[in-house]
Amino acid sequence: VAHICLATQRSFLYLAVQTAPSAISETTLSFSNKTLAILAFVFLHLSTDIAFANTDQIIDYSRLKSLSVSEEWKNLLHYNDGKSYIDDEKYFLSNTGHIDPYSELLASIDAIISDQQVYCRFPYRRQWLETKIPELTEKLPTYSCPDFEQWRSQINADSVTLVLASSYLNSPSSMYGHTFFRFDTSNKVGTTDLAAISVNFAAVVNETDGISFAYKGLFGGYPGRFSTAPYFKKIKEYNRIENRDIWEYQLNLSPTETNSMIDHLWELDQITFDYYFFDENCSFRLLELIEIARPGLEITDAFGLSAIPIDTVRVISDADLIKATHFRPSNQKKVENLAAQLDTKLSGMAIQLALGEQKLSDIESIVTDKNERYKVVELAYKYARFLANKDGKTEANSRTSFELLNAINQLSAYQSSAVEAVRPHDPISGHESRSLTISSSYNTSQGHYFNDVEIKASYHNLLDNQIGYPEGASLNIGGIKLRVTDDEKLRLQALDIINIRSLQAASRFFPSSSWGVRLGANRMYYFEADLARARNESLASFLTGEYGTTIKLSPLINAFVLGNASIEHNQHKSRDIDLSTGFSAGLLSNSNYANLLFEAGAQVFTDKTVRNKVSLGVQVPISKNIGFRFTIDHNSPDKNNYESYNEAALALRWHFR
Amino acid sequence: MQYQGIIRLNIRLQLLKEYKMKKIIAGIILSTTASASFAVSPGGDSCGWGNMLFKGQSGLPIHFVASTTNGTSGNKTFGMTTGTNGCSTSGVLTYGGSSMIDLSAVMDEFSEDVAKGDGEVLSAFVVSLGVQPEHRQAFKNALHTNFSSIFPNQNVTTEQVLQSIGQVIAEDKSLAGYVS
Repeated sequence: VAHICLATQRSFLYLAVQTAPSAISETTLSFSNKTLAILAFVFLHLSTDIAFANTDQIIDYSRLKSLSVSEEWKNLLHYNDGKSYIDDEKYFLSNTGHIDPYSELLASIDAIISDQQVYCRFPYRRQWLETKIPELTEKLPTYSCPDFEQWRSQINADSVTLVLASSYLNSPSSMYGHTFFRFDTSNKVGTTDLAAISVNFAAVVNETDGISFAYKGLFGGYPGRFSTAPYFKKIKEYNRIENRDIWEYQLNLSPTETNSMIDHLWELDQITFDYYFFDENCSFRLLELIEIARPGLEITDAFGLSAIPIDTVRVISDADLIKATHFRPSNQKKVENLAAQLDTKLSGMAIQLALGEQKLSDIESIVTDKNERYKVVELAYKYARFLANKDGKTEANSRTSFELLNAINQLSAYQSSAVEAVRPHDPISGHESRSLTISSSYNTSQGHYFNDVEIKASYHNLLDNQIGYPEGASLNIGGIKLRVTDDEKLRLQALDIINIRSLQAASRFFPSSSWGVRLGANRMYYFEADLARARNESLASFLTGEYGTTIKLSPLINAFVLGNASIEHNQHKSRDIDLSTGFSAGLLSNSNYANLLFEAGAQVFTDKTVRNKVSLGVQVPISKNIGFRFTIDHNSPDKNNYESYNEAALALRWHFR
Repeated sequence: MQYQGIIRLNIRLQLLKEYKMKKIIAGIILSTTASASFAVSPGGDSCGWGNMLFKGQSGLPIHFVASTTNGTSGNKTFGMTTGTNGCSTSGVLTYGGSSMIDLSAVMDEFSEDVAKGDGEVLSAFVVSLGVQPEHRQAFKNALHTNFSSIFPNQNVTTEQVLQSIGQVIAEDKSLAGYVS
C-alpha cells in the first residue's frame, strides 16, 4: 500500500507542477479550490519524502474525494455496498482498489500518465478522468493504442440492441431466459445484423460434473466473464439448436453512449466477476453497462435478491431505453408456421418426406399444384434440418435434406412471398415475476377456516395470466405459504424450493415430452374417522419427479398424463421416510379470459398406503398483474386409515417486481 | 481460381501507372486476402462443428441435469478471434475489418437461401464480401442460377462451396471484379 501511495504521490506532483502555471494564469479572478490545491501539491513536492506520512490528508482534496464517491466512479469500478463485484486484481491499480474507491482513483490518475499499458487498457476510465479533471488532459502523453483502436473499429458500432433469448425450461441455466447485447452499425450501407458483434456475460465453466456445476452456479464459485461472438453464432445457438425465440430490443443509446460502453468493455476483457445464477448474472451485468453508457441512470438498484432476465428488460423498458422491437422466431416456430399454411394431409406428407418415408417423385403426382408443392418441400426441408439438429445427423438425413434442397431450388419460381411468423406477445408485456397471494379457505369436511398468505420469488404457474409466457410452463423457485388457522395459530403451510412443470403439447412435428420436478414441503391433515373432530397435522417434505406427455385436444384445451416417483419425509406415516410412485392426469386450458386446471392423481407408498388428490383451479385475470383464483381440492392423504377432506379457497393473486 | 486471380493481378499491375498504384494495391490486398482466406476453410477441421454441408453439431436432447449457468467454454478473448471457437484465426473471412459470416456455421440457412434465391443469410454473406449495393442482386442471382454447381452433393465442404462461388463469380462478366 505504501508503495502505491508513493507512486501516486509522485505523479500527482508531476501533474500539479505541470498544471500550475496555466491554471494560475487562467484563474486570475479568484483563488479557486483547484488552484489552492495545486499550490498545495507544489508545496508538498518541495517538502521531503517525510511528508508522505501526511499524504492522505494532503491528497484528501475535496474534489478528488468527492469524485471518488460519485456514483459514476463507483459504477465504473462496479461497486456495490462498499465493495466491487469484480473479483480480479487485474482490474485495480491500487491494492485496495476493490474496497477503496479513493485509493483506486489516485492510483488510476497516476498510472494512466506514467504507464502506457494502463493508458491503453483503460480507455473509458481515462476518458472519464479527463472529463472530470480537465487539467489532466494536457498532461497526458499521447500514447497510441493500436490493439484497442483496431478492436473498436472492428466493432464499429453506433447503437446497441438488447437481445433476449426467451425462457427455455429444458435447460435449467436458461429457464428464466438469457440476455446479451449486440452492437449495431447504421452507417455501413446494407450491413446485416448477422455479422454484428454480440457481447455476453457468462460463467466460465470447464467441468462436467452436474452436481458441482449446479451448486457453484447457484451459490458462487464460477468466474463470470464477458465474451464476444458474431451474432449469427448466437442465432444458431438459440433459434436453431435450442429452439428458443429471440427478441431484439434496440436501445436508444446515442453513438457516444454506445462507444462509452464499448470502451468500458475493453477494460473488462479477461476480467473476472463472481457469477451467481440468481443475482449477479448475465442480465445484471448488462444493466451495469447501461449505467456506464448513460451516466446518471441508476437501474441496478431495483435488483437486490435476484435479477430475472425479463425483469431487467422491463426495467430497461420502463427507463424508456427501448426504441424498437424485433422478433426472431425459433426454428420450431418457423416449422409450425409453415405447417399452419397447409392442410393436415399435406403437412403429414412433409413429415414423411423429411423422414425419408416418402419420395419426392411420389408426391409430384399427388401435389400437382407447384405453388403448393413448393410449400410442402420447404416445410419438409426445414423439418429435416430441425430433426438433424435435434437427433444428430445421419447419412439418410443428409441425403434427404439435399434432395429437398434441390427440390426447393427447382421449384423456387413458385415460391410465394414469405409469411411472417405469428408473433407472440412480447415477454415484456407479461405479468411481473414475483407474487403475493392472499386466500381464504374452508375445509368442507370438518368445518375449519383458514387464511393463507403466499409469497413467491418467481415466476409463473399454470393458472397465471398466460400473456408473454411460454405455453404449459410452470416455473416457481422460492415460495412460502403461511396459514392462519381457526385457532389463530400461524403455521408453515407449504414451501416451494423448486417447483417446475413443463407441459408442452406434443404435436406430429414435435413429439415433446412433459416433465416436472418439485422439491419442497406441504402440510397435510389426518382426520381420525372415529374421533369426530380430531385432527393431526404433518408437514411433509418431499422431492418428486414426473414424466409423461401432453396433447392438444382442441385449440384451447390440453390434456396431460404424467407418471411420478417421490421420496417423502412425513412424521405421520409409519415410515418416516418413504418412497412412492404414482401418476397424475388432467386438463389445462389457458386463454385471455380464464385459466383452468383440473387434475387427479394417486400415489402408492412402500408402506402400502395410498394417497389421492383431485383438484380444480380457475383463475380469472382482472388486469395484467391481478387475478382472482378459485380452487377446490379433494384430499385423501392416507386412503385406508384416515378420512378424506375437501378444501375450497378463494384467492387474490398479485404479481409485482 | 486463386491462380487465375493472381495472374490477372500481375497483368493489371504491369499496366498500371504509378499514381494509381497505391489505391489499387490497397484493393489487391483486400481481394487477395479474401481469396487466400478461401483456401483456409473457415470452420475447418479444428472447429467443433465440422465442415460438411450437413455435418455439424450434433443435436441437444433435453439437457436437464446439464447446467445452472449460461456456460461458455471459456476460451474466448476479446480479440477478433472471438467466436471462432477453436477455428484457426486465419480461417475467418474478414472484409474491411469486419468479421465475415462464417459459412460453416450457417450452412443450413445459406444453402436454403441460395436454393431460393434470397434470404437473410445470403444477403449477409454478399454484404460481408463487400459487394456493392448495385451488384448485390446480380450476385445473388448468379449463385441461385448456379445452385447445383455450388452444391453438387450433400458431402460438399464449406471450402468447396466457397471455391465454386469464386468460380461462378469469376465467370460472370459483371461480377468478375470481385474475385480478381
